[in-house]
Order: sequence, then C-alpha cells, then structure tokens
Amino acid sequence: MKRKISITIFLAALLAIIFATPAFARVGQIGFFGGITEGVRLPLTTEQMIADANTGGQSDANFRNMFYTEIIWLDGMPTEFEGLMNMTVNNARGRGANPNFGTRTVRYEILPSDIITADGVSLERDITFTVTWRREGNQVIETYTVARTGARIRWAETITTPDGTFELIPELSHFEVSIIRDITPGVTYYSGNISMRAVYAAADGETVIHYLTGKIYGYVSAWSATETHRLDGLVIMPTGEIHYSNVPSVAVSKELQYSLNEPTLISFFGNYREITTNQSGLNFVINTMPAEFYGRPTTGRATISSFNRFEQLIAPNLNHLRGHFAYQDIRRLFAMEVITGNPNHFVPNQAVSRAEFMTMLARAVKLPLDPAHLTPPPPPRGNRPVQIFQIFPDLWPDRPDYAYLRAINDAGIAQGRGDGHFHPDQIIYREEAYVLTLRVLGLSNLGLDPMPMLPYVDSYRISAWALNDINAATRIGLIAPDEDGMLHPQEYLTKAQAAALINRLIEYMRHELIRDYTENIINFMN
Amino acid sequence: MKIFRRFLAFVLAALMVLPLATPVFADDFILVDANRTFTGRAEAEALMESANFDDLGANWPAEAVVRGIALGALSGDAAVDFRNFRPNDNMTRQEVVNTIMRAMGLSGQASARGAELVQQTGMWPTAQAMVDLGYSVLAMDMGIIPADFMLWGNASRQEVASILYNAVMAVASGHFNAAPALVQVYNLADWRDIDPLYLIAVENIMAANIMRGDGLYFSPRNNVTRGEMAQVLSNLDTIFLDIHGLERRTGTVAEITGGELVQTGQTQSWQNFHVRLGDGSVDILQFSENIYPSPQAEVLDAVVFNFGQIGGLELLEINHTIEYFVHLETNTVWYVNILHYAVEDSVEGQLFALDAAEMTVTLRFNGQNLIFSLVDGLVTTLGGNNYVLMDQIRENIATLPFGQNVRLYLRNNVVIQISFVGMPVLVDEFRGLVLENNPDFGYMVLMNAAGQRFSMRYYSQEMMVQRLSHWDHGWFNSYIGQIFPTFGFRPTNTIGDIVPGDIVFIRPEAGEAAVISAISAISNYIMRYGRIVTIVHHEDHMSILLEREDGQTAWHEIMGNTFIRAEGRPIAAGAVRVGDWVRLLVNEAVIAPGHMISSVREMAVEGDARHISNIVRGNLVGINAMQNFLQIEHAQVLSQAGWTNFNDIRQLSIANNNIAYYYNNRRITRDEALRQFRLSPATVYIALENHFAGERVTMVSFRTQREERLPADTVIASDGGGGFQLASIAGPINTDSGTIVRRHGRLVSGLDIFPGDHASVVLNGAGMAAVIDITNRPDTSALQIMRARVTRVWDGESFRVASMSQLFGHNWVFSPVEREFAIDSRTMYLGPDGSVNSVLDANFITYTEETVFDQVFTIVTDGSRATHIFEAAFANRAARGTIYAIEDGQVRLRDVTIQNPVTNRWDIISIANNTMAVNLSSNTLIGRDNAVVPFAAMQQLQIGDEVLVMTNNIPAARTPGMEINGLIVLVD
Repeated sequence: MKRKISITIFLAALLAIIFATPAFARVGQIGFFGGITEGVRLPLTTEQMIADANTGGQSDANFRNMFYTEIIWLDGMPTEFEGLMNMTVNNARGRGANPNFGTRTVRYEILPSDIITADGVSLERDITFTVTWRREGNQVIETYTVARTGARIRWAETITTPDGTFELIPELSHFEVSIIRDITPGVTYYSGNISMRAVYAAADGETVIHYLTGKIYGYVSAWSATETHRLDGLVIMPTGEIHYSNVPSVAVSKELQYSLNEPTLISFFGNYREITTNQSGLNFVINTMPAEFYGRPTTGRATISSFNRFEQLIAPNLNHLRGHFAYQDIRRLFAMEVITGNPNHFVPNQAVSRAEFMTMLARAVKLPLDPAHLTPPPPPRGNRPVQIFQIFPDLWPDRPDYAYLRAINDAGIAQGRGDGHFHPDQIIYREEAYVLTLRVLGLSNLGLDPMPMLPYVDSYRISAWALNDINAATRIGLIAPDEDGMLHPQEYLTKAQAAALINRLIEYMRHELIRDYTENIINFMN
Repeated sequence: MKIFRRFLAFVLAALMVLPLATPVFADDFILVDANRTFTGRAEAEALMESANFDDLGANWPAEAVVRGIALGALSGDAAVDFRNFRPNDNMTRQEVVNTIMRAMGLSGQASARGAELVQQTGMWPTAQAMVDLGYSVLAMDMGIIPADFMLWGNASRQEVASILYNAVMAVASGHFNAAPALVQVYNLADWRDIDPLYLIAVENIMAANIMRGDGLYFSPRNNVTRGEMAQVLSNLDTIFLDIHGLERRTGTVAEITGGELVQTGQTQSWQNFHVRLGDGSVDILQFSENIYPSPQAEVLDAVVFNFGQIGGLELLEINHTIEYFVHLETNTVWYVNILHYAVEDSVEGQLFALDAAEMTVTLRFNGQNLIFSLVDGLVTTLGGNNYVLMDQIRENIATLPFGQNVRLYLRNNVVIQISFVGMPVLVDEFRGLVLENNPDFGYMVLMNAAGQRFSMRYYSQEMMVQRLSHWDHGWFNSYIGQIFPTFGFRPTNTIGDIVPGDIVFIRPEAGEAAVISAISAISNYIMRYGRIVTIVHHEDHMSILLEREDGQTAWHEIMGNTFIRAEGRPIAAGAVRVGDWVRLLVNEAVIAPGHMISSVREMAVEGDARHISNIVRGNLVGINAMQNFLQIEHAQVLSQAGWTNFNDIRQLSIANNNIAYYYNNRRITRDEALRQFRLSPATVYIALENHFAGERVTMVSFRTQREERLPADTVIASDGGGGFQLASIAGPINTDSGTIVRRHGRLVSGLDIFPGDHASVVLNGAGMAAVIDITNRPDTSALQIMRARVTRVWDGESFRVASMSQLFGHNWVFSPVEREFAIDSRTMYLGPDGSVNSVLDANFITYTEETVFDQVFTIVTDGSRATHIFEAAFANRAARGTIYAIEDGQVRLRDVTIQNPVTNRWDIISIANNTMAVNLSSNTLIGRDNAVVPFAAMQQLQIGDEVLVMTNNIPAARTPGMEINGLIVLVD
C-alpha cells in the first residue's frame, strides 16, 4: 500500500526526535535528599559530536563519584556532610519497549570519602527507586517509589554525627517523588514534588523522624541546565523539634570566552573557547528550633566548587567583517558553528531567508536532526518516477538544509506561511523571526491572555497569528521596543540582525533562564 | 470504499441542507501524500495528430473517437479522407471485423496470419487487401466469424453484436455468459427481428450496456455508422481495459509542479500534474521532454480531450476533474478526459468515527452515518498513535471530540480540512480585559480579544462576582458551589475586588447585552525582579523605582494594603530599603501602545541573599580565565577595625556575568582592567556579593591615589549629588560611580547617603571616597536592662517584681515601684549552669522548692514584656576597652579603663600593656546594636568594638592581661 511508505518515514523522524532528548538523565542529578552534587556537566562540542555519532544522542545516565554535600539535621543542629554520590540508572528501554510508558530504576549511593569527609560525621545511604513513567504527547510523567526486591526494601541508611548514630528503619519509612517534564523544542522544563518520611533508630531505643517535603524545578537546554529543590524539613527528636527550609540547587552552563593570540605571525587573530561551569549550593533557613540552640545561626549555606572544563572553538577568517557593527555577534555564531560555510557569503547587510534563519536557529539550540533527513533522496530527473514524501510542496528533501528545516517543522516551531507552503527561500519578516525565536524556548504560554495590545507603537502592524508569541517574547524580556517604541514587525531581517537576535536567544538561555530557576527561587523564601 | 460510493448521492443531497459560502480550499497535502507517477508516452504526439478530425469538434462521438484512438481501439489512420472522420458513414462487414479485431489487440497476430497466407498462395494483393485478409482469416480461425461469413456489404447491428461477443469470448471469456437467461432481449419490441443465431450475443452485449438500442427497439438489422462503432468500442469500457491492462481513474488536478535540468547539449524538462483521487490517494501524471545534442527530441505525453479540444497534458489546469487511463504495467498514462471543474463544499455534522487505516471519517447526521474519504495528509502516525490535523493542529485520534460537531471541507467529496464546531452554545459568555472599574457608578470598561473597547453596566447588589486570587488554588472556588450554593464555603467577592488588568469572563443579563449578570476574574500577573533604586513615601502609599536585571527601570506604586514579606515572613512597608532586591507580583496589561496599567499585588524582599558580604582591597595580580578567578595580592578585608585579614594572594570568584569594573568614575571592561592594572601599584577595591553557590565579585574599582581611612562618623549633610559632609572632618567628601557604597549590607550609589548615616569612609585621593560602609551606629542605649526582685510568677503569662534598678550608662538607678512584666514562649531564660531555655520550659515558678520568690534577676524588657531573664549575679563594677581579639568564650580588650568606685575615676591597668580578658558565658548579657546577642552568637562581636563591661568582681591588684567575668557586655 503506497500510503505506508510515508507514514513509516514520518514515524521514524519523530521518534528519533523525542528519544534523542537526554533530559531524564539530568533529573535528580543532585539526589532528592536535600543535598547537592557538583552537577552533571554540559558536554563540550566535540564530546557531543562523538556521543551523537556513537549513540544517536543518547547520553550516559550513570554518574559516579560526584562530590556530594548534605546537611544532617537528625540531632537538631545543621551538620555538614561531605562525601560522594553515585547515580545509576537502569533503563528498561530496548526491545519491545513501549514508547508511551515504562519503568526504570534509579539507584543512589551516598558514601563518605576518605579525602573530604570530616571525622565524626558520616552518612551512608543506598536507595533504589523504581521509576514508572508515561508519555502523553510532549509531556512525560515520572513517579519514583522506593524499590523492593521481594520483601526487602532497597533503602538503607546510616548517619553518624558527633552526637550519635542513626539507623534508618526502612519498614517505617517512605519516599516518593513525582515529576512532570514538558519537552519543548529548545528546552525541556520539569517540575515535581518530593515527600519523605524517614524514621531512624537512635541510641537508647529512641526514634527520630525526618519529614522532607517540597518542590522540584529544573530545565535542560543546550546552553544551560538547572535543578533546584525548595524543601521544608521537620525533624522530630526525643528532645524537641526543628523546622527548616532548604534550597539545594545546581546550575550548569556553557560560556564563551575570546582569547587573542600573542604572536603576530599566526594564521588567525584569536578564537573563542567554550567553558562549562557548574554552580552548586544549598541555602537553608531554620524556622524553628529548640530553645537550647538559642543564638545559633539560623541560616547557612554549603557549596561545592567546580573545576571548569573548556575547549577551543574554531576560528574562521572574518577579516572582511572586522569593524562591522555586528562583528562580535557574527564572530560568536561562527565560532559556535551556528553559522557555517564561507564567511564571505555572510554579508551582514543582506537579507536573511527563512531557511537560513531556521537553520541558524536549529543549530543555536542544537535541535536533534533525523539522520534520515541528512541524506536526501536523489533529485527527480527526467521521466524517472519520483516517490518522495514531502511535508510542504515547496520543501524538497534534496535541499542541503532539509534536515534543519524538518527539525524546525517537526518541533512545531515553523508551520509554513499559512498558505500551505513553507517558502524556505523567501526573506524572513521580523515578526516571523521573533515568533520562531520565542517558540524555540517553548514559552508561548506566557503570551496567552486576551491582550491584543502590545507596548509597541506599531503593534497594529503585527499579524494576528504572531500576537501571542510576540506578547510572550516581550513579557519575558527577550525583545523590547526600540528607541522610537517600534518593533517593525513587517520589515525584513538582515543577516546582522539575525545574528544579533540568535545571540540574544543563546544569552537568554545562558543567563535569564538560569537565574529564574536559581536566584529567583533561592533568594526569596516562600 | 464501495459503501462510500453508494452513499454519495445521499450525501450530496444532505449537503444541500447546510449551505455555506463555498470558499476555495487549498489541498495542502497534495504534494505531501504518497503518490504513484504515470509518465506520458512517446507515441502520444502522433496519436493527438491522428485524432484531430475537422468534422468532429466537441459533438458526439468525438470523445469516443479520441478515446478509441488514444487507447488503440481505433486505428490511427481511421480517417476516410484527409482530417475527416465521417461519423455518419456506414461500416462494411470487413471494416467491422478489422476494427473489432484490432480493439481486441489482435492486429499483430492478424498481420502475421495475412503474411503467411500471402506466402502460401503466392498472391500479391494490395496492402489494404492483405490487412483485410489477415483479420478475416484470423477471425475465422478463432471462431469469431463463421467460415461462410460474408465480408462485403454493410454490417448490421446484430452482426456487430455477434462479432464483438465472439471476439471478447475468444480473448477474455470471463466477461460474458455463454448461456444467459434471455432477459434483455425479450424486453425488446423487435426481438423477433433478431436472428436466433445472434440472440445470446445480443443479450450479453445489451446486458453490458455496450449496445442498447433506444430501449424499446434494438433494430438488429439496421446498419452501423462509424460514429456508432466508435461509441460501441468506448462502451466496452472495463472489458477493453482488462484486455489491455489499462485502468480508468478519476480525480482532481490539485497542483502542477515542474522542473528543468540543463546540461551541455541536453535539456530535460518535466511537468507533474498532481491528481487527488476519489479515495484520497494521489497520482502524478508526468509530461517530459528530452532534447539531446542531435536534433531528435523525445516527448512523453498523453492524449487529452477537453470538450472537443485535443492536446497533451498541458491542457490540464488545477481544479480540473478528470477521467484518465493508465497502463499499470508500464506506469504510463494514455488518455485523459477532462470532465469538469472540481466541486467544493463543506458539511457539518456530529463526529462519529475516524478510521486511520481506511482513511475515512464518519459523521452522524439525522441518525444516518455518512462516510467520507480523507486526503492522506490529514492523518499521521507518531509513536504508535494516530493523529489527525484538526484546525491545523495535530490531535490524537483516540481523543478527538467524538459526538461533537465538526465541519468537513470537501473537494469532489474528499475531505481536505476538518474544523471543530462543538456543541450548541447554552450560556452567553465572553472574555475580556478590565480597563476601568467604577463600582460607584456601576460600570466597567473592557477590551475584548479583538482590541475593541466597550463598557458594561452592572447592579452591584444583583450580580454574582467571583475573583480567583493568585494564592488561591483550593477547590472551594469550584463551580459546584455556584450551581448548588448550599455546598460549603466559597470566598465572597464584591465587584470592587475587580481591578484594571484583570482578565474576566462575563455573562450578560438575559435580554440586556450591556448589563453584567455575573463576572469571574483572575489577575493577569507576572513576576518582576529587580533592585530598588529609589523609594518615595507618600501619605498612603510608596513609589519605588525598580531596576530590572536587564537594566530597564520602572516606577511601581505600593499601596498601603499591599502584602510585603521578607525571608518568608510578613514585614512592614517601612522595613523596605533602597538597594533591596525585590520580587513584585504585578498585575499588568497594555491598553494602548506605550500605555500600560499595572498594580503591584504582592512584594517579596530578599534577605541577605545578595548583600555585599565583604569589601576587599589589594592589587590585581591576574586572572584565571578558565576557572573564573580574579587573583588579588596583599588582600585585606574591610572591618570596623580597618583593613584586616591580610592574605598574600586571594582568589575571588568571577563566575557571574554581571560584574562592573571601574577606573575612577569610568566604567571599563574586564579586558581593559587587566591590560591597565595587572601588577600595577593601583589599588583595587572589590565588593563581594553573597551568592547561593558562594561569594562572588560584583564590583571592581581601581584607584591610583593615596589612601586614607577616616574613623567611623556621622553624616551631617549630603548634597544630593553624591557629595556629603562628616561631623568631624572638614570639607566635603565626594563619590563617583566607582565608589563602593555599602548601606546596611546593600550595594547602593553615592546618591543614597543621607544625613544621620553612620559611615566608615576610605578615601583615595583628596576628598574622593573609594569605599563607604554605612552601618547602624553602635548603640545599646535603647536596651532596657533591669535588676528586679520577683514576688510572684503567673506561669507562662507574667511575673511581678517588688522593686528594680535600671541600668543607665554604667549606673544602676533604683526605683521602689512594683511592676509586672509579661512573658511568653519567646522570653529566654538563661541560667548560670549554661542552660538556655524558653521561660515556659524553665523552672521560673513561685512554688515548690524551686521557687524564685524573692530572687533577683537581670532582665531585659521591651516595654512591659520581658525578652530575657538572666539568672546572674549583680554586676556593679564597670570597665571599658576595645576588642582586639575574640576567642571561644572570651574577648580580649586593649585600651582598658576601670572605674574606681571610690573616686569614680577611670583608671588604666598599665601604660605598656593595657589589656584585659573578659570571660563570657551563656548567662552573660551581651548587647550590640540595641539587641541582645546570644552567647552562642558572640562572633557578632567585632574586633574594634568599644565595649562597656559590667562585672561583680575586679581584682584589687590590677595586672596586665588579667581575666574578669563579664556579666553584662555592651558595645557602644
């Protein structure tokens, strides 16, 4: 049946995109216990390429010997524990796996380290969660419960402080985590809840109960990723109770730095390098504590310093652009290989086509490409019968940028110009560029309200289909009115402007997004 | 699919019931859907030429003739004379035999048979005679005509029927019934005229609708014209097609695409005609032309008949509905007949089913199921789920709104778009944005989604108001409470709660469209983060100028009733300070370009999350770019006692991206700073900020003048431009944008220095401040400290004292007045044994053996409430000094003076080594900044603090370094 061919190709394309997202590997990268790790680094460009080539974009979800810090509360005083964490994900994916639901296990092992753990303080935790998950469209729901092997509960924990030793009683203890992930083109956002009741046997047959409850927020993108927990803890000790708020957080990002060469007789002036940096910290506030601790500090902080990794980026010859208004923007995009090819063909004051802009955008957020789209079918020639599956009449698979345009289309970023055509080679309008840029972030929901009015003097020129997304882009500060209060939605975009806009997007992902998930949460106690 | 066809007529009838202005719909998927390509044929050009007769035009039997020629049923040289077909000429028997034999595809065999006979007999007939001979002998061989068949003279209709019947039976026997019941024949008025020999043939031919006569008369013995013969062959239809491996299809031309390949000496061009078939699938009919270096050109085309016009595929236009004949084995198209333009329509009905495998959608309409075919592109399969495009959005078929109404857009009855309609609207509701609400006059101005403004009236007492606050997510706001108002608690709202910027749903009064009957609102809020640059206090509200992190600034009004909190606890508006980082929950809406309405609904203030934790001085050594460190040599930290904590090298984190570098008044880049000041004698002042992942550099300021540190002093005047005057220093002190000003922990500008501030100033150059640190004046004069004799305790509520002494300076002033102080859970009881407890938890009672009746305590009060009760001895001796070291449980003082109780003079211990140690314990009353410092937090004491120590025991022999027990230690 002729119909089948097209469906198979299309199916393969979308599955590849959905499963290439390595987001779940990072969920829980700091554990769910109120502690922090140094976090999972973003891959450097070469690492990413090799990983893509070897595993089709699947990243390894197992992390070993990560530095780990947690505050121990069981004797009523915050005691800092420093040690190591292993995280092992045992994924049930593979043959016969259903793409819509399944299970996996995640094991956390937290151990003291001879090198960093202080004397008299020790924490050993070995907990395995069974994660059940299901997928509905772009959203994934995941629930963690403590795994059992037969009657054995796979949660063991021993904590030692100068005041004594605490042994977990697994039969009386519970731990649940539930997470929702929303996969948007450029960013996978997630949030969830943690609830724990851990009962420990202390000395003299006494028990200590530790309640931990709170929210999880995080996201993963090509340029930054974070996870922040807003937790409230309550410890019920034989001698009194303590209530505290704790916000462990990790933020990883990738920055660019330019370095100029010292020798004159060198074939390139200088180049950019990318640096991956991790920031981990937990900040706590004690809300209530026994009077005997009167005067002790009620706030505290623990951090893990990270050692940054870095890699050189390519140095294309942009001699002809030196001194141009957008020299820096263009140079950065060439270094990140968002723009490729002969730099002489990137003429900043010329127009940028829809296809060019979309290709830059897809590269900027590292949209996963379908390998099937990278090798185009032979072009139709003469009277040879052609059998091609096409998404748009004017989007031919033999285009060299086809994989990028399909990635943009499959991710729902661009859907053609409403006349059923994609118009890849027409000049892009500014409003189109703004809308595509916003959709990459997946934040269209922030524009959803009955507000046809925007703060631009020329708002009335904005097309109806673009209002919502331009509204959202304005509200989140991605774009803003120019000096005259204008947006110029119906003007064409130059290559220089496109470069500036895409750099703005990348910077937004590096800084603004990360800040909303870290400082904006950590610094304001709810 | 067959069911579908059967329903077609009915569907078409049903459609008429729901007329709709017919738009032209684009078939968006025509190029997307899978397809099969049929190319043209090289012989098409010649066939077009031979089918083009002057005497046919568009009239009968022109189409049958062209079709016959195009499909090879009629000979290409069928012309009787030049370019005339002569459709009304009678046909001879020989011609009939020839035509039918050719139509059966037997030409090749016939000419072979003719040649064979010629060879056997040695005759030399004319070419035509040889053809005739071949056909007739082969026909006799195959039993199509009897051996005695007369080949001259005109053929009769029954003879034609017979020859045709026999020929089909000889070639493909399955099409006719050799022993039929003679139904058709006996219905004829003239059946008796039919030769019994031909009865079976005529019955079959009539049953297959190949020859019908006029329904009543077959006229078996009449002659057959050439036109009639062409029609008869055309009527053979599927029999003919089967024999020749052809298939007839119908569809609509939906798109035409083309291309050209140009090479040296060779050009290929092609044009594709994309045809949407009735079952939703797609065929491509392809014209192509190859021009080679030699003059020969190859054109692959098909014969097209367009109401009399004969040509190639170029006659096809978008929206033509066509009937065309394709050869399945060779993937070629032979003949296209243009029927008419496509019919577009739409139909609305209840969505009943959507079958992704069959590509059909079923609507239920008046109890009847109507099934429509879908174009392929509407349905896709992703991850095992089937999706259909509805209103241009991909929807899972499993969760479509079955049972609700949809509108299908059809072209030639194939669905090309689906659009959601839903169910009948029962309640008149609409959505809008509130621009203005005026409860006093009972009207509201709104804007709808189209940007139109309109106003609506209301009667406050007669309307229903619901407003979902941003903090309320509980189910008690549920709608069931509106349907059954007796169910549970619902927060009550009045129309006055609706504020500009709210998004509302409005239900108008029945019959009065401009009157609101019910309204439901939600705030249209967004979080705004920033630093307060300016605060202006008004009578009932305050205005703050907020600088957002992207540098944009905006004024916000904070009304008196706005909820404000810091570190999770409610605070008063007066506690908000310039430099605070805040999070505003702002209800905001743009009502016209450049005109935004906004109101702050809630404000949260950061704790010390972004306070300036330290100010460091030193010289720049370098940078570790990869690890993001600034390296400073000779680093010292600013404290009350000046620059302390000397380090040869300190590494400071610059991992954040918002660091400001200054050289004097000028902001510079980091790279410029490194180039100019690395390893230079220039002094660098660095403000470090708290950050969740550790201390970070936030401001770096280079200066090259001589430094001078002024003692902490009071600002007595400021000029509003960054200049100010200190009480004890002559001349103004100036600030510039490179001056680090820390005001109560927050980084501010020189404009935020006010008279009355207690400032430590570091000058760099004459009268130019490099660093200003504004803190609370060290003061404990507001602490109320008493010695009191307890006479009665009411457990957990209060206690009464018979008399008391209050500490003023270092003197106790006795007052013999009975007083009562309240106690509560936050009143701390500090015992001599190190016990620290809430007074409720301590044995502060006036019964049992533990009674405190008639005991004397040191108490700290806040008005009539006791905040601290110290079980400690009476401290009647005083000493003063400056802290130079802080150790565990002990502070060491220098510049000590001890009050002589006799002379009331202050004596030193020694000139050479005027020091003393003060032991502190958990029941030492430590006071600083008008607050009690718990012993456990004695680190809050600072080197450089000047303290008053009260004790009960000073050794008579004063020796340098001697230890005394501090009962009361006050920083002043």
